[in-house]
Amino acid sequence: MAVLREEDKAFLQSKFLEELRDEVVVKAYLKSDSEESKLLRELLEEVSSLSTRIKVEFPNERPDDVYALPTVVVSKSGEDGRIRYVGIPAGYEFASLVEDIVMVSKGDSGLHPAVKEEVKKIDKSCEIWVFVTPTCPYCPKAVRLAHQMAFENSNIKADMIEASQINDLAVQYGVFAVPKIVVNRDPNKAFEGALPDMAFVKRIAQLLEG
Amino acid sequence: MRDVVVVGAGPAGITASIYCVRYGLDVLLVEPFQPGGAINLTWKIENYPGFPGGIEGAQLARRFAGHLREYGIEPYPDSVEKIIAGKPHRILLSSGEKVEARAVIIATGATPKKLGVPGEKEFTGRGVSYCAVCDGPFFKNRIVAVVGGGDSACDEAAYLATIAEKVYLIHRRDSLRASQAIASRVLNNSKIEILWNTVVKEIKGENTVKAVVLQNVKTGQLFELAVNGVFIYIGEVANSGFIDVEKDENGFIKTDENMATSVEGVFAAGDVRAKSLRQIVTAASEGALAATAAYRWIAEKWATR
Repeated sequence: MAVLREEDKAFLQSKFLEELRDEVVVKAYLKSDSEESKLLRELLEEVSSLSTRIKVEFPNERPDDVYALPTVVVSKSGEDGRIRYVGIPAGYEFASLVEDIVMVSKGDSGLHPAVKEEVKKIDKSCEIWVFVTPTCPYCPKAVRLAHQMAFENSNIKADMIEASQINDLAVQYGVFAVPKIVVNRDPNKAFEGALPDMAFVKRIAQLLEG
Repeated sequence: MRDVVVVGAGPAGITASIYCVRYGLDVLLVEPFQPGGAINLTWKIENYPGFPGGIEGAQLARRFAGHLREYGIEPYPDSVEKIIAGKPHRILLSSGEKVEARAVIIATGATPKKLGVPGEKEFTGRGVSYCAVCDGPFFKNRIVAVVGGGDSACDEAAYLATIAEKVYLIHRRDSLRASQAIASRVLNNSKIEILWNTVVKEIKGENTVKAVVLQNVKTGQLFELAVNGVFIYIGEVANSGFIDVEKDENGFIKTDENMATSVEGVFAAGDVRAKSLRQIVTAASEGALAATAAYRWIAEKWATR
């Protein structure tokens, strides 16, 4: 059974043809026996079938830094993955995944130069978690911004975390509203809500300092 | 310079953009979030023609976005910081970029009104929410209160009843303001209990929401109700702070029947406008009117101004 609708496939195919440049590797670490992981595998295989520049891999071995399953990592081949999805990028977040693939392939985050400059100033190790639900229309903005930051600065890694699937983490971090952003796994370095680009970057930088 | 900058990609901004393209205008549509605007925040839409049986908000929003795409319009992912009206209008985006345009169509919609009671701010994101489709999933098998009695309050109460164990609808009057079709979803729902003539005085909790303090407006009696979440749908204020035009007391922009504001070359459409009905169908129609007025204004007034 196809996961994507025909009209969406046609749109993605022409988008990828127009915008992709370098090869992108989408690695997915799956939970072997879950229905959700099966669905995710099908979804990613369909996405990869729409462009020769998208490779999907399903490694059996789970690296130490993959703390929950399923996890999807988007990177250029041979490079390490700092752009990740923990839980299925479903609903509105599927668009984030598509935009990330394009960003990595093109080699351009699309951020405004002034925002890029602000991102590059971050000189500490920074892990950004963005908790989402698939039905939250404000969430992809926050996910994309976190991923754009990771793309621009190798000190930064950024994970989307689907709060209803990765429930134990959501409970542990007291997630009651999304998007909820947590910096360096510190429950006290967190905020809720989407912000415009510059304000978002400055807020993260401020939390890192504090 | 652009012919038209449309601010906001809800039904008003999307329709305005489509009409502008069809008039042969060069249009930039600015939208920081998902195209569709407030449609995305609505669970189910049953009164938009062409969708008998109703359609989910997110699904209708996707269709609106798809239609936009067909005209080659990709929303520009940014928000507007300030608009300085003039010839041309200067639009400052929050990323720091500046855009110039002959005409501007404001379609930025509205933001939920706050209750303004103790605990509301403190517990926002800790049980207090203004977006049921975003945060509803965290209240599975829990008890929530929805505050309000209009279409949004009733619609979202019905949505939350599909997730939560119990939903209290807290309304300050003795009858619902919602249209009959939406109200009946609440009145006939065994999971929803309506507390009439009741207002919220305080939201209490430790770390997360634990209870609301309520008051019956008829008897003055105060009482506490144990809840895990409070969803607030008591009306809206306009998202119009970035421009200096004539507005009403809640920031809604005043226009004439062609959507022209008090400033030449600036038009407004959709929920951001001062009017009596805020619906997808009215927003779309106003978007078309605003685009037409902008087109005429550019054709007739721009060169001679």
